Amino acid sequence: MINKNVKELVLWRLETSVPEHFKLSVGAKGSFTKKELKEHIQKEDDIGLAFVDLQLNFIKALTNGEFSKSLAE
Amino acid sequence: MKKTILVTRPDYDDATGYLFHYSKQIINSAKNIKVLDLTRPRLTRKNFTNLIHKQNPLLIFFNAHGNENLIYGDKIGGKEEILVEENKNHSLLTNRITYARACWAAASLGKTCVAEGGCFIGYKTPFSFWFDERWSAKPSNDKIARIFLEPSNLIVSSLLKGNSAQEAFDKSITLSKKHIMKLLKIKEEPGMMASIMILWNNIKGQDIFGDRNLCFL
Repeated sequence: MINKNVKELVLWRLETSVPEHFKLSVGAKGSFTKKELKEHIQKEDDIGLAFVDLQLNFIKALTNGEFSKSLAE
Repeated sequence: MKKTILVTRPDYDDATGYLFHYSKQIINSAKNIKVLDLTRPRLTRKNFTNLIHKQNPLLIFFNAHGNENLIYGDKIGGKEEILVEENKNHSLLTNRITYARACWAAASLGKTCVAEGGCFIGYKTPFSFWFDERWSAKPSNDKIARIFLEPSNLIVSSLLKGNSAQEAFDKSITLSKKHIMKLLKIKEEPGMMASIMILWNNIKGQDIFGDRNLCFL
């Protein structure tokens, strides 16, 4: 189960950072519009959990300095 | 004797459609190289296996779906056909350079198939990309997908120019980082942070195993 605050954060980031015409290809799982991704996150199914992981891993890399360190290499 | 590359190019959904188009760019640019281009209806496990035995390609370029243990080919009769599977026929890739533009294949299959020689480049996460759904029928016009697919194409184009597997790998990572830097500079770019997140995912997921000094030429 996704923590309520995490879910809200991921949904907010999705809403604010992804244009309507963007579609995400996630290999064999398929490709998803912003609206579809939101539905998967709400349902907390495999696709939703995978997208939450993706967001959290990125936020972690941003906050622990890994992202900026890697770009500077 | 010309060096040989074998390319698998299914085209049955959005993801494979884009990979089909982008791998065609590589094929079009290949000079003085024998290209075995496997598309429907010739993209079958039987043909794939026969071509490896008869033509002995040094470089294999998969564009496909996959998981930790296998790489698929085409969808035949509504079902994806497995081309290579760990502990079944993974030795087909041994002593070759393989680039699998496919999800997860570096997580286990990649290590196993080069344990006795060769080099494998792939992803230990899902290979993901954003695309513009308004251009999905014409991927060449899709500027969003280009950001993610150009760095992956660079792996193969670098190998075809004679770079080692490690050099090709590094160039691809460097180009992804350049795209991130470019996006960060254009702050008003729609989807900027979403694109950076996926580029980061692919950078972190890209992995290399085996003899990194192997060269195609």
